[in-house]
Amino acid sequence: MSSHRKISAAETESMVRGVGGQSRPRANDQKRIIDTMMMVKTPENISFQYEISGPFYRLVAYLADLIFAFGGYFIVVVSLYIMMGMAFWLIGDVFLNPAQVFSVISGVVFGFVLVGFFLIFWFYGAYMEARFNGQTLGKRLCGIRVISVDGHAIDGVQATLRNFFRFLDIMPIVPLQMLLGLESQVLFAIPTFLIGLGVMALNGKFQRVGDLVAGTVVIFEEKKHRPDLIEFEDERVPKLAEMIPADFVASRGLTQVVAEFAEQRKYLAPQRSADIANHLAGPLMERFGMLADTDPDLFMCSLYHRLFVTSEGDDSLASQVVQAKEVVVPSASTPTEWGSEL
Amino acid sequence: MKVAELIKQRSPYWRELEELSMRMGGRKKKSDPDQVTRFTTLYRAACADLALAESYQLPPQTVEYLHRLVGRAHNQLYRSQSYQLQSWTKRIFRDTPRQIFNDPCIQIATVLFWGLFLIAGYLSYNATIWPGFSEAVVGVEGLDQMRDMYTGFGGNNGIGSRSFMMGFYITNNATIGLSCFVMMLLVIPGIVVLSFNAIYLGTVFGFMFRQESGAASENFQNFVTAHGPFELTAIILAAGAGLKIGLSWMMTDGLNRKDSLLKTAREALPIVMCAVVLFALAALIEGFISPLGDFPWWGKGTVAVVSSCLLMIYFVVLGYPAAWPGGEEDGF
Repeated sequence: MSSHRKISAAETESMVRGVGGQSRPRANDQKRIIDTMMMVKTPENISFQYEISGPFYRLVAYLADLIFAFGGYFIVVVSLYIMMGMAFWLIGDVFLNPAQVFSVISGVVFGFVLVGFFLIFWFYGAYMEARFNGQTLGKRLCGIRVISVDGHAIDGVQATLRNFFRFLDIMPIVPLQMLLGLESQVLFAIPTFLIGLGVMALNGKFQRVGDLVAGTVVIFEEKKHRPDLIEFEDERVPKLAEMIPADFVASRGLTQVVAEFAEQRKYLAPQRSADIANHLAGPLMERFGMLADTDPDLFMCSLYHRLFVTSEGDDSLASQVVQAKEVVVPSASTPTEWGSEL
Repeated sequence: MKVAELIKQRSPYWRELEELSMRMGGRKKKSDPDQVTRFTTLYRAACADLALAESYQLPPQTVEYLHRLVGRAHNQLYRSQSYQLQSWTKRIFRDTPRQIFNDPCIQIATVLFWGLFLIAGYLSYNATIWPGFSEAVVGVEGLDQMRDMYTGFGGNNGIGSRSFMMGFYITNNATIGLSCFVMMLLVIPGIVVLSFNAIYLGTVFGFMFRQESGAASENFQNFVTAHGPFELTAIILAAGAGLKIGLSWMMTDGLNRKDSLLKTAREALPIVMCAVVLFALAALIEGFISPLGDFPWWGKGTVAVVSSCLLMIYFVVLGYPAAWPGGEEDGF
């Protein structure tokens, strides 16, 4: 019930703010605070948002990395040994004492295998993130990326530091015997990740200790967002849109609210959707002199259709678009096919 | 201009940018210039679209899309610098030794490590001062194992087993060093790790140097001489670098805690990398020279002296602060 009141209050406010439309940036700021978003200001003086990735998504990426790195290494090592064995089986006779030679060579190889293990354990993440722009294989698979807190790409120093300090994030390491109360000589240690999880929970950017030391943050980089407008299948939508008076000009706040409603509509139950629409649509339907039994939900969709699909917009907007075109197209300095197309 | 038309008009360019940043992301070799020019043009256009999204009255879904698009393209445009090898020679041979020479944290770590090492060594060597000290630290079993290990020493002279041991030493010792470095962020766990290693090593040394250890004592001295300088220095460097980071967020020197931590971590990384290199060198010596039973002791001593001299040259000759303010009057 309380959430219901809150939404309607906010929405009414934006309706009341109405024509002036000056308070739009404030509403946007509030949105940023609520969500796990991070603002970045580029050298081009553009601000844009990143969505920050949470601990469990990153755990999946980390486990995938473990499988890739150590599984891959294991396969390489085993196949190397199989190949060595086969080579000896084929040409081993040239040595006087094949068994001894084989044991020497396999010893040498095993030494390097251990060195490789050490390098992978401490430097796999660092190398991958520095080389592939903040992504290891697992991160690439999960669509996340490491960037600096200021929005720039990370450098080698940051990549190395954040991966070194993972060792602290996986603490405390609990021996399996202690958990299960087993009497066993072999020590199986389970990293609990509790320090990392705790530190992540305590700061707003989900930074683990390694991220704090290196000044990095992990963000989502999804590809599945679409820029298109919502299309309604209901045939009544365009018809009702035509009934909205031609001289009606919506404020920015109203435009925003209508768009938000239309986009969120598909996630709401019909009853709830109608409930919200009623608050929004009531005063407007009254103003337009529409019948009281018009479906508010349908009316909101029509308003969306009218505002985004059929509306010509006001003159100031049109002039801004013209200006924008001049800004966008660098036709004077770099003559590309752009100039003619736009 | 209708919003729907605007989106329809711009979408192809957005999609092209999306596709380009995806293609450039996976590519290892350099992209061709035309593509890069095209990419930057599209990127600027998308930035402008995003900046004007409010004036265009674009719906939130489209704005969200533009945020992602610009973010993704931004990550492709400003790629990671990876490791810049050119500046590394200067960093390795000038900046890092000077930094190490001047660093109070490394001095603290040195004093702590050697102090505890020598005290534990003496207590363990001279069994009358604190009877049962070495048994309490290492355990009776551990000491016996140690003695047995060095009594029948010098058997594994094959190059295969030596390489294996080298790999083992690198993995084991560098991991100890790096974990000491990392734990030092919280200072106290790090100091515990460092002190434990110092006391444990000191006790083993003291015990093995006792007269009654017999042949094991001789073999032990024979074994540890050559690689000692590199390995012990590496532990101290790793711990000192960690202590530097750990103290940075407590003593911030006028910065805020986060910035102080970031700045110091950046400074400390070369030191810990130096430690990793020393661990690797130590492991090479430990794997290939130290276990040689028939190698004369003076030969190993020479290795130790040479490696100590190299360390001295690195830390003192290269590290002596030429342009340090007040360095001349400091009485060095």
